[in-house]
Amino acid sequence: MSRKKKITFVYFFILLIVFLIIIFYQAGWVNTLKFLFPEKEQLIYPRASISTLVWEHLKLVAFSSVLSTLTGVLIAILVTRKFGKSFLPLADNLSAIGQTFPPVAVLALSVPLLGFGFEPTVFALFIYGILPILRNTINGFQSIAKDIHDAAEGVGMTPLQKLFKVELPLAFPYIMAGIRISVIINIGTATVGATIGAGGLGAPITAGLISNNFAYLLQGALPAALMAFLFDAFFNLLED
Amino acid sequence: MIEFKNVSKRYDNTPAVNDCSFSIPSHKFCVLIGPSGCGKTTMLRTVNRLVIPNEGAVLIDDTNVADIPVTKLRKKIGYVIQTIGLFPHMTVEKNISVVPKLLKWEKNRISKRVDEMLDLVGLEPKQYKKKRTSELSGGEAQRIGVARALASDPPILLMDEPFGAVDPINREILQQSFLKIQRELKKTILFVTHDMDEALKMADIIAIMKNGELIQFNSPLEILSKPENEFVKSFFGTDRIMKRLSMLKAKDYLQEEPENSPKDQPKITITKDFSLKDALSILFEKNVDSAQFITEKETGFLSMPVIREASGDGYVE
Repeated sequence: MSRKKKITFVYFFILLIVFLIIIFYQAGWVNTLKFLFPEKEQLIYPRASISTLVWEHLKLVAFSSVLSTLTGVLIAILVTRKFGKSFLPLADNLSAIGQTFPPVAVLALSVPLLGFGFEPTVFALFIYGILPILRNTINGFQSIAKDIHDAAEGVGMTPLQKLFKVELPLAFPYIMAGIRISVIINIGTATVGATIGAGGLGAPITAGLISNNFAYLLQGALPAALMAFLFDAFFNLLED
Repeated sequence: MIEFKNVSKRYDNTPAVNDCSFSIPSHKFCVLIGPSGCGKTTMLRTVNRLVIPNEGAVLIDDTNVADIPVTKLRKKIGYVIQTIGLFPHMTVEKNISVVPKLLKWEKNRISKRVDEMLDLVGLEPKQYKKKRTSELSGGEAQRIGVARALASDPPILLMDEPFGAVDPINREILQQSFLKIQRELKKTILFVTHDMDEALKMADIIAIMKNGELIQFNSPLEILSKPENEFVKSFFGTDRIMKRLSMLKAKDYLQEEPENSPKDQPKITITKDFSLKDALSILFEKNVDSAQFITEKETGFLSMPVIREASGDGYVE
């Protein structure tokens, strides 16, 4: 194992331990919050434990990210084939415009369509999460040199063999980078889902903002932030 | 046999290849040469259908390539390109076994074949098999490219400036070792280059192209002695005649001692590879018109007129 890899591994491991402590060490939360906010009476978010909230949050992110990945990669494959070529500029532009679109707006727009709760949030996260994956995968395919295409066709690969044996493996690092961005954005954005009743770590944040209770806010924000760091470190590990 | 029949190809109405016809006999090494943009690469790519001609046809052993399923066709044709096009995500071993795998060979057979191929191109299998392509030098990568093209033992080999990106010293080595491989395997080869020395060294037949048209199609010696026109002449340079002489062996031209020849002619011992060009420079060096040359087996005389006649220029037999 190289030195760099060791460091990423240790970093990931430390984050994981800190994350687990934060999720499960209820007494720690009570004592720390008491020390920080001695004048407050309500310190611990009452509706659900942090571990439940984290679990809900993870479900939101997992469902939406898996859907985004499948859809993003699939669209990227289609628009880089011969028959889908004419849609490439459209997909390119959409993914560029999509990045400038605030996620809250996607959430707000999905409510009239799907109502409140888990599904519309997953849907909004899924739509928003497609974009970085789509963009990166297209970039990945386009980064493959013409001579590699020539060689693949020249040895007699069918289009499908070329896709699976050459193009996807070569675009893989790009795809992973896209998934990484998508997941990390989704972890943050999923907190907004609480406003339409999706639960997750957004719930204590929203409650804290409404009742001006900073202790609640910390219980949502801290695990969410750590979760983002943790996934980032996880993808770092996968990279080498 | 590869046969081009009135092949034409246009890109947006600009002709790249215009009505070219010639055929390459089986087991022959044909070099397609010409200035850049003359259509030689386009021509080569019509064989494995990476380019579809607008008119005309390409036939392999009397079958039109358009009638052979494209992936089947390409598996029977080795293809080597200048940029090599090794797959960067695969090891050397994986790269060489691409085509055998597509042909669904057994694992053992593939692995044995990879070793054979690496031996053939002069790279130690144990040392190179597991290497990543990024760890290879230009010359090594090109050898792997050749190994990959030959792995499934295709009867035909297309090579598009395969040694163009390699430095002169390594190019020389690659050319020599490839010629050795060809003497062993006897493939039908179509080889594109713009390097005239390379063409002369490698080819059984040379096809010269210019502006999409075939100018001359003949053996190197014939082209050197009877260039079709000014373009061919200039393409082979002012030392064209010297080049021809350097390809002819002195031992094949030794004559009986001429009558009334001067008594004190120099005697020169030569090897069997001694060329007429070498002989000529000896005559110049000794400042004589003829000399006696002695090889291991025979002895004979060479004179200026004999060499001039062998040079072929201006002489009609």
